[in-house]
Amino acid sequence: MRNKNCLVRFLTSTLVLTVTVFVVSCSTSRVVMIGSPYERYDHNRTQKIVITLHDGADKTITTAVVDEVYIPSGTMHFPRAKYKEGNSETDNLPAANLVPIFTGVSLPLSSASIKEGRSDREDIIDFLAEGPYAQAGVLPGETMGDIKSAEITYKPVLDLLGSKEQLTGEREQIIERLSHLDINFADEIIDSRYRLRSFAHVLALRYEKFWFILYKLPNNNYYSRLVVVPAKIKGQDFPGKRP
Amino acid sequence: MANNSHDEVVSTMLEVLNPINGEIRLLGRVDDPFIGNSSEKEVFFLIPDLHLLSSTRQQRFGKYGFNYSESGLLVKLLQRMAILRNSWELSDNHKLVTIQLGDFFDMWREFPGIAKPGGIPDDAHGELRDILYRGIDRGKPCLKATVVLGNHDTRNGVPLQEIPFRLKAFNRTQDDKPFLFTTHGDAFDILETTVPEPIKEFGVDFIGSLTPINKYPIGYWGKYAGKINKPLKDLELAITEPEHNLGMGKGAPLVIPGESLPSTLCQVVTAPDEAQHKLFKKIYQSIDTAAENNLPGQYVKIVAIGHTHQASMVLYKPDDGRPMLLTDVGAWIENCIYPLAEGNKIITEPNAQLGVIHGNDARIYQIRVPDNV
Repeated sequence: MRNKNCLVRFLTSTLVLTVTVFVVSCSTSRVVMIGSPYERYDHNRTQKIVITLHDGADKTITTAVVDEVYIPSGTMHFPRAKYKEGNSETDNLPAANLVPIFTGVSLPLSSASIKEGRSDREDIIDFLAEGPYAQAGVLPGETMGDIKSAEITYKPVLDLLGSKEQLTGEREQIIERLSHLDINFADEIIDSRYRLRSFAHVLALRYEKFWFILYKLPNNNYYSRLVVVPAKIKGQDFPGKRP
Repeated sequence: MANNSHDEVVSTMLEVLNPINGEIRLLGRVDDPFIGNSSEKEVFFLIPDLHLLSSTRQQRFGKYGFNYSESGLLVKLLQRMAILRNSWELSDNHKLVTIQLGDFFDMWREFPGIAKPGGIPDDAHGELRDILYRGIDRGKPCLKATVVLGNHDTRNGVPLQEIPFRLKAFNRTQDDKPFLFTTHGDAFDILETTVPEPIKEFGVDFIGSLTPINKYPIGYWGKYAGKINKPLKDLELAITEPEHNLGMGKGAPLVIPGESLPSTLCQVVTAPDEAQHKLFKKIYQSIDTAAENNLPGQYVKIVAIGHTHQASMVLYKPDDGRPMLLTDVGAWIENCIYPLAEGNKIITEPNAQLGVIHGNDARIYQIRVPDNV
């Protein structure tokens, strides 16, 4: 009798646990976080940028954006700001570092070559090939991943990103165009760069190991900016470690 | 005065080693045009498995751990290499490309149970982290290493967030025909690919907890050693200080800048399944697969790995067919057994290997500090 009671209790608790896990997993929303500059791919990393400073006479600086640009102490590459009044520095850090916030890769994705770098399409493929843990959003690594595999794997999404026609329309239309692919769409997007209300629509789709976030500006009928961030992946990826 | 980049690398490391009566031995070398590297610019500097642990966790594992940790030998070598890297960069002479081949931190041993990837103290092997990848964010010298993801670099499938890991890495080329492929090696290890991660992690931690001789009295080992008919000393050493026979037929020559070395010092095989290396055949087949799929991996001539803790070079160069050189760079954990060139005297000492590739010349060095052994 006692054994029977134990068994019933065990089965009941197992059932409750299973239902709880099911409910929790069904109700978990997909959240995409557009975080640090290293994680997010938001510009062609091989392209230098031009900054115009206004100080009496205009001064133009052409510079490369390197990883060091985003360190707390700042670098010589970009200005360091102080508070106009008072000085609360206790650790020698500037009040702020004036560093670029890239607005995202321009869409449709360009294949036009760049004099001292790669085309936008080539550079994004290079980034994808470096893998989801690479943190190579600011600068390409000194070694490379499997460019060709990445190009083949991500071709359906890259083709969409390269076509203004495909990028035109409402969220539902984009989703419909991608319905033949194994794609997930985010329920919630958190962007550390901007308030999302700056945009008319933001759409995040996950394909393979990355999220592709598309931005549509008000009064624009197509998605014109792109940011890519890695998806959170658990477990060893043995095929990804082979040539 | 060093006259080529290999000599420059050796001279640089000897600046650290000479004052402590250290030396460099050549464990493997292949200098052969078949490698097909047309660029003289890059010098690839390969660092194998380190298996770092925080000091608290290291106490649990006793002698089993990162070699020369107390003397900071590897840090000193790398710090000096960073100076060389900068001087090359300033003169636009060469580019030092550093690749750490995985198993950097040993997350399996660091975190029993639930992983806390942010829970590794900032100063745990802080200088190594700085010189390899973290210094860039702290205004310190940094090699900006490519760090390849090893099996011990994750816990519950999650890697240490501060490290920018790659699953694999090729040398950068304009024509998408790389000669060099680097990966940890676990993807070719049947044990790693078939046994579930949590079981392996548990096993390593569980067995590890029995190993420290500073935790359990010698008598404890004696009791069990008797039961398995093995001398106490052998049992203790087998667990806390495993030894790998590198299987070198010839003795390892002393490396002195400017002095000639044998152009081939490696295991040469006439078929992939002849190799005295448990992963060679599978790796060779994976290149075939890359060729079948017309991927860049098909052009690879050198595959550099870690994982086995057993440094070796295996060359397969058929008259007709695709050649491949496997460069297993070894480790900085556990011990190695190999003969010295002088009199073929066999020695056992801590694994402390580094790989260097420039042009078509690939080498594995053993860093020796005999006074320390």
